[in-house]
Amino acid sequence: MSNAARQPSILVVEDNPVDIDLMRRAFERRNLTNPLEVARDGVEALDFLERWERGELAPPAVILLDIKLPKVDGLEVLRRIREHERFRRIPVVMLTSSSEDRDITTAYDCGANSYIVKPVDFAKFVEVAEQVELYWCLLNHPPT
Amino acid sequence: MEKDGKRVGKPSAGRTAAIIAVVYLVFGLAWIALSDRALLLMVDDVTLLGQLQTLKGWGYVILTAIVLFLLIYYPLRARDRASREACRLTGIVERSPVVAIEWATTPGWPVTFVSPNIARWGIDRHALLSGETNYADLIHPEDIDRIVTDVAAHIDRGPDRYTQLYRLRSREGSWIWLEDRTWLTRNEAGRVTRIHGLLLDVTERLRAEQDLRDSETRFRAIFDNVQEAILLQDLDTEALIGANAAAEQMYGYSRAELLACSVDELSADESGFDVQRQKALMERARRGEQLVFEWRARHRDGHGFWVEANLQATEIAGERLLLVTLRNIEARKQAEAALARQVDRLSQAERHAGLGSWEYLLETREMWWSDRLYGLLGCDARSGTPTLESFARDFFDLDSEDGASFADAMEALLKGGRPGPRRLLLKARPEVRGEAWFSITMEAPIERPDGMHYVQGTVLEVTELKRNELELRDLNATLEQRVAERTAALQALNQELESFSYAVSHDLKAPLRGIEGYSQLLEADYGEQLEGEGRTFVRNIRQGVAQMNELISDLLAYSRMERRPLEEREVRVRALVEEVLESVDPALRERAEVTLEVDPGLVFQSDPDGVALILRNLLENAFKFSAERETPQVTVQAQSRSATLGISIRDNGIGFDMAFQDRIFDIFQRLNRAEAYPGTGVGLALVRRAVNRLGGEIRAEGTPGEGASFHVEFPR
Repeated sequence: MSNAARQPSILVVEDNPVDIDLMRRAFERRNLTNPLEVARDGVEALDFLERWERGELAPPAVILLDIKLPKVDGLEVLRRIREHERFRRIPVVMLTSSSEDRDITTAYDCGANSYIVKPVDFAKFVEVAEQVELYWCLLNHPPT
Repeated sequence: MEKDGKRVGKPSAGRTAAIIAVVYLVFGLAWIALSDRALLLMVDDVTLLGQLQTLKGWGYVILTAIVLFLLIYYPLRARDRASREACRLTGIVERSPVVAIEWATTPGWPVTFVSPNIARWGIDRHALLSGETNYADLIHPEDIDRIVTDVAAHIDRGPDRYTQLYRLRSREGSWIWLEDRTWLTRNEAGRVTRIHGLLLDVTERLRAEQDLRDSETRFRAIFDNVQEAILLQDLDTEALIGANAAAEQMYGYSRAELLACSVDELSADESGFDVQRQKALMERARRGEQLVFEWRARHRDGHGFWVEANLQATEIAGERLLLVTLRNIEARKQAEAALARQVDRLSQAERHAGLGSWEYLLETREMWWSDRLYGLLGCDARSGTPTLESFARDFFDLDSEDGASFADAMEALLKGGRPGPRRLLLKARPEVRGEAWFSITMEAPIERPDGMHYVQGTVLEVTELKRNELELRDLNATLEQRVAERTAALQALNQELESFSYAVSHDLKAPLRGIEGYSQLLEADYGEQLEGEGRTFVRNIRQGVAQMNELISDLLAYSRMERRPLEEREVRVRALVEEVLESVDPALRERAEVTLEVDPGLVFQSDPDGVALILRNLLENAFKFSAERETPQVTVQAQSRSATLGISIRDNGIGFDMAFQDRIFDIFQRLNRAEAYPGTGVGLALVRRAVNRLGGEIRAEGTPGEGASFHVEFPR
């Protein structure tokens, strides 16, 4: 547990329970050490910002953000994060079904650090989970 | 005894005096010899004798006086008479234009007598008589030899009376023409003793004669040179007695032949030009009527032609003649007929076109309207052509469209100005026509061959056009609004479509991911617990998911096609084909033998991404459908044509039936079973859409079992 407490978390913003479940399993398959936190819509995702601010939670190592979300969509959440005084530098990886050029460019314009299209093939999905954790939680140097 | 010759002709003064002297001598001698003797016989008384002697002396004196009176009185009276006659003759000669002259026959023919009236020609009579002036020198040098020869001939051989004509120098050196009537006097031996001449100045007469001849020549020339044919007909015998050269030409007869023709022979053998009418016309002319009429004449070769005949009875040199002047009007008649046809056609054309025309003659201020124009402007042609003033003011609403310009042009015309060409649109005045619009044209004044100027114009009814134009204007006004509405609607629709594909990409794929994910988990985690068939089911589920996923991806690509912006850049064909080949799944192409028949320098302007998408799909198809071959062969060819660039991709695969060559490009259209050749049926539809989007064309050829080829033509 102590080990886990030291590990920064990964925040997944995703509304689809199947996807959340599959993602959880994918990370588990790779023996995830970083805790997975989940926001079920845009509003919940923005609540996390406040909780980090209040010190209830530590900010995550990376945010995996879907675009199509109920209430407040992913791109809007991204914009709000990038506008945030303290947490604007947190890496955000877009993880979405859309491969629309428009979504990709808008996401980068809003400050996304990466853009990944969710693969339908579960094996590939597991691969993605592994790569994300490996890269963003171990290799990448997050801003302090 | 010659009466005149002796008594008047030779009343010599000497002779008369001698006669008187002889008579006096005889009388005196007889008196002296006889008187004394007779006295002595009768008287013997000496005293008485002495007294009687004295008386006898007185008697002698008285008798002598009487005798002398008688002797002198008669000759003197005769002389007086002769003298008076001579005086009278001289006076006549003086005043006569005839100059009497007499020449001697001695060499040089000196003038021995000339009447004083030669002075009228300014010739000195005395100089002539004295030999100071030689008559021959006065004769014109051109005439003198002829005269001399002539006179010599007459003197030699006669005849003794002859007339000569020659010129004589008069005062001031001018020449006068003389008619010289000469007669020769010969003696018993036949020798010419005297030459007498009577000279008459005929200069005036000759000139008059010459003038007459000239005049006649001139008239003859005119007669023969006028273009009109002229025939002269004797009114009594009806025979032709004269014809000019134009008449010969017109009828094709010589003058002599023409004069032998009758009027009937010169008239066309057509009804209406028969003898009765000829006679009737001639009769009218005979009564003094001057007739002008058109007639059908007949040429020698029999063909008829139109002439305009002018008949007039006239009297020439006491003869009653009919002067017939004829003008060939065949060309005019033909031109008139052609013109009539033309006018007829024009008016028909005007009627069909609804076009009226007008003409205005600037100099005479006359206006002409075509029939159609009367109809268009609701006017009656029988009530006369309206004037330009009326045309300008009474028919059109000068407040409508081009009214001001029309009024200006008309005002300029009325003032004799020359306005430029115009095309105007005017509305008719309500009292002329109801709601009617006219397009009026007018040209700039044109000069006619006769120097007059005219303006031509047309009037075309354009009510319908005008109405349409107004409607169109209304329509146009609403059109923009409608376009804006439609654009907005389209944009909304597009938006909707976009969110639809967005939804498809997200929402259709999310459940797939679930199915796939859990199937894989099931297979991985519970595979051992599944019976044989259970594993097959899970595998089939996953296969279905993969297919579904592919289908969704293709559909997305297809829908995205239209929305993708095009960018025109230089496309290097060979490089692009190679690049696309690189990107094709190696498993698909590794066995295939690819032949590139593409010139490395070949370039054209197009959207490279679009072209790449087309090539990728076609190449993947070629590989896919030829994969079963022992040696799959795929050939890419590119050719540059004048306006297009053609790319062909040919394979030796399974081919297709040409019956399906059109349907092959339809979406979801599959010609093969899915197990053998997996695919979504979107590929070729996507290709066709991309080709169309780039403005190109695609066609497919195939033979089942032998292969297929696809040809794309891109615009350059």
